[in-house]
Formats: sequence, C-alpha cells, structure tokens
Amino acid sequence: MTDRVRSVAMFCLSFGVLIGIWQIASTWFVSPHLIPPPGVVLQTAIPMLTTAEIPRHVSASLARVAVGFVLGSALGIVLGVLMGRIRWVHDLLDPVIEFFRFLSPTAMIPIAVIWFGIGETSKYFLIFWGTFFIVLINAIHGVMATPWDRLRAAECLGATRLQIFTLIVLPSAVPSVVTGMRVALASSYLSIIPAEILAADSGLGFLLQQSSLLVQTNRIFVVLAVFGILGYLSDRAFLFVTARALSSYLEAHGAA
Amino acid sequence: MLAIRRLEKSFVLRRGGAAVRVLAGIDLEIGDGEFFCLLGASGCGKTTLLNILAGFETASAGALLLDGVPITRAGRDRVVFFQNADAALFPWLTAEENVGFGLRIQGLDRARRAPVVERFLKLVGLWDDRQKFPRQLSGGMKQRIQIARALAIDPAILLMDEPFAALDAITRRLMHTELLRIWAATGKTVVFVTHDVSEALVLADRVGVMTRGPNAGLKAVLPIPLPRPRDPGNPRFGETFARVEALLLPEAQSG
Repeated sequence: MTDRVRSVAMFCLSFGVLIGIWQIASTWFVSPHLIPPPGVVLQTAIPMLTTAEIPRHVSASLARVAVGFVLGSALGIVLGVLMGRIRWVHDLLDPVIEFFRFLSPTAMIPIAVIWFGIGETSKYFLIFWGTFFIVLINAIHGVMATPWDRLRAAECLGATRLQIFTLIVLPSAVPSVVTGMRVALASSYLSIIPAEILAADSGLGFLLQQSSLLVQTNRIFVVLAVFGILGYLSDRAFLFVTARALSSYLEAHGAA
Repeated sequence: MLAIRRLEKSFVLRRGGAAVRVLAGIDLEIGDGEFFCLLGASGCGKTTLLNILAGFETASAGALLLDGVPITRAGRDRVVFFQNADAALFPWLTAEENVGFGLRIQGLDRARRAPVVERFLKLVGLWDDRQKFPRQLSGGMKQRIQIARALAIDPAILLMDEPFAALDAITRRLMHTELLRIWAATGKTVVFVTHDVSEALVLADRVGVMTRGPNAGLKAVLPIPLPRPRDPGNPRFGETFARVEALLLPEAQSG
C-alpha cells in the first residue's frame, strides 16, 4: 500500500509544482494576458462547463476519435494479420504502406476537406488515417514475431494450419496489437485538433481556433487543460480495459 | 522402428550461391523404446537432423521411415521437445491447458481431456501447480510441462533438442533423473540431441557421435552398456567418457 500512497503523493506533487510555477509566472514575470493565472482559468472554466459548452465540444471530438479509432484499429488488425501471415499479401502491400504511412493526418487534411467536406466524415477519415498505419504495422510485427518454436510445437502436437493461426498466431500477436492501439490512440488525439482547427464547426480544436481569433487566452488555457485531462483519462481507460479483458495474453509475455 | 537411410541435406545459404551439404550419408536405425543420443559439436547439423525427423524440414536425398512409412511432414507420432520453454509453451494458457492442448485440437472435450491431463501432470509432479501460468514456474518446471504436453498425445517418439542446456547444473541433473523415470514408465522412443558427453552417457542406450559439418555424418554409434542409474564417479563411466570424448574432440576443433 505504501507504494500506492507514494505514487498518489508524487502525482499530486507533480501537478502542484506545475500550478505553483504557473501562478508565480503569471503574477510576477509574464503578462496575465499571455499566461492567465490558474484562478482566472478556473473562473473561466466553470461557466464553460456548466453551460454545456465544453461538454458539447468534448463529445463532438470524442465521437470523432472513437469512430476513427475503432475503424482504423479494426482494419489495421485484419490487414496486419493477413500481411503478417501471408507472404505475397505482405510483399504486395508493404511498399505502398511504407509510402502512405509517412503522410501524417495533418498532411491529409486539405484533400480530406475536398473529398468529404467539413462534416463528420472528414474527421473520421483523418483519425482513421492516423490510427490505421500504426495498428497495422504493430499487428504485422506481432504476427511475424511469434516464436518459431511455438508454431512448431503446435504443429507437432497436431494443429492444422487454421488452428495454428487462431490458437497460436493471434494470441501471440495480442501484446503488440495492444501496444499499437495505445500509441494510435495518442496519435488520434494529436490529429483531431489540427483537423478541427482547419475544418470544423464543433469540437475542442474548433473552440481553440475560435478563442484564438478572439484572443481569449484564458479560454484557450481551459480547452488545453480539458484536452490534456481527456487524453490522460482515455489512455488510463484503455489500459484498464485491455488489462482486464486480455490479461492472460498480456501478462504472459511481460514476465517471461 | 525409426530407420534413416543414406540421408542427405543440402542448403542454399545465399540466393544464387552454391548449395552446402550439411548432412551426408546418415544411416541409422533406432528401435522402439530405445533412448538414443545424437552427440555432436555445435553447428555439426544435429539439430537439422532432428528437424528432418520431426518433419519440419525435408531431406534432400535418402529415406526416412517410421515403422516402414515414409516421414514427410510433422505428425502426432513424433513430438518435439524444445530447449526454449518460454517460446515453446503457450504463455497465455495454464499448465493444465498447455498439457491438454494437443487433445483439445483433436476435438476432445474438457471431460475427456481431464483424466489424461491429470495423469501426465502427476507423472511430472506438477499436479498441484496445474492452474499456474508458465511465467509462474521455474525453468525446470516449464520443461516438465513440455514433457507432459508431449506425452499427453501419446506419440511413439520424443525428439528432444538440447532440452536441458539452458538449465542450471543441479536442475539439469534432476531433470535427467526425471526423464529416465518417465521414459521407463512410458516406454517411448527418445531421440535426444546434445553436445554434452556426460549428459549423453547418463541417459542413452546408444550414442551416435557426429562428425564436424559440413558433410556431417555419424562417426560412430556406441552402445552404452552401463547399468542405470549411472554415476559419473564410477570408473567404468569415466572410461567410456574418455573413449567418447576422444571421438568427439577432433570434430570440435576448428579447421
């Protein structure tokens, strides 16, 4: 239990120091118009939260991340497993994927707006784009990294090719896929903001852009804080859910 | 009976390169229930030979017959036992699920698997640890799970590729005793690959000493007529050791 107490204490201390430095900077060193003090940001935040302004934009952004992330992960896993297992599929698609994966979601915003407009579809597409390649590459790796001895052990115990695939290859790839999804989730948060800044009429990125145009520094700080908390909580939630649902597949590899 | 006749194996190491003949002209017969050790220096091709027996690789020439039937691919009559238990066991399955895996994929339901799993977990002394995952077991325990998993599908032959090389010396000795006990209790044929003269002499009915690769073959096949359990301190053991080592030593020297 002392470890837990210690980690909670360090967590509080970490943010305590941040807020302290912030307070000192905004009081004595930097104009409050550039860095509004913590108290002012909090005062700004309360009406934004209670009038449902923040909840509305949060849910808009979250829905986009969720849809794009789920689609990108699903397709990334399916294609990644096929590419990891079937040589010719891999050799056929790998060069194209190596090319496309260097086009960041931000780079795809202009064409996404032309293709899909500024509605939801373009945001789904951009999050999908950012998720898909990360999950794909990790899924390929997870499948290919299945130890030879494990495949051969299953083979000489009499497993068919299909059984080797479903009972050995897929479970062996789980840790790598989960890692990929976690990285992709963080990347979704990185790409939703530019997408909403450039092409949206709702969402946290839109709110940032609007506050910037009106030079409302305190509102920008509120949105940044909300966004940081949201990302952190999403990552925790993802870890919590995967650790429960896939515990034997994940832990199995950790302490080996 | 396992019969190996004029077996050859060549590899092309680089595309466009010449084929390297790793194994040349291996002739050997291993009887039912025999404990046979293949003894050779590192890199002589003994693992390649084992992989061919397992059906993971195919011979370039020659014949390989199990009770008169050619071996062409992996089959449930020959189970391989790997050195690296962390890779070979299924880490997301418990000890009993690992042991039952071979039966499960044949479509046997839990109730019909249970008595077999129980029998072999008890045979290797891990019945109390049946709910544990491999990561919760020691190196020696993991290897015993591998033995139980292999025996559960009732193969005719156990193919063991330096199975205890990664264990500490004490655990290795205990595993030798365990393996001999299990071998005596089950009557399986064992083909055991090792580079350790002492290990081969403690275990085997016969030892096949391999020459250095490429073009590796069997230099000599020696029966080991010492009574079990064999004591390395015994003078007759020492005598045999010296004889086998004298055969092996020139093969281990490079050049």
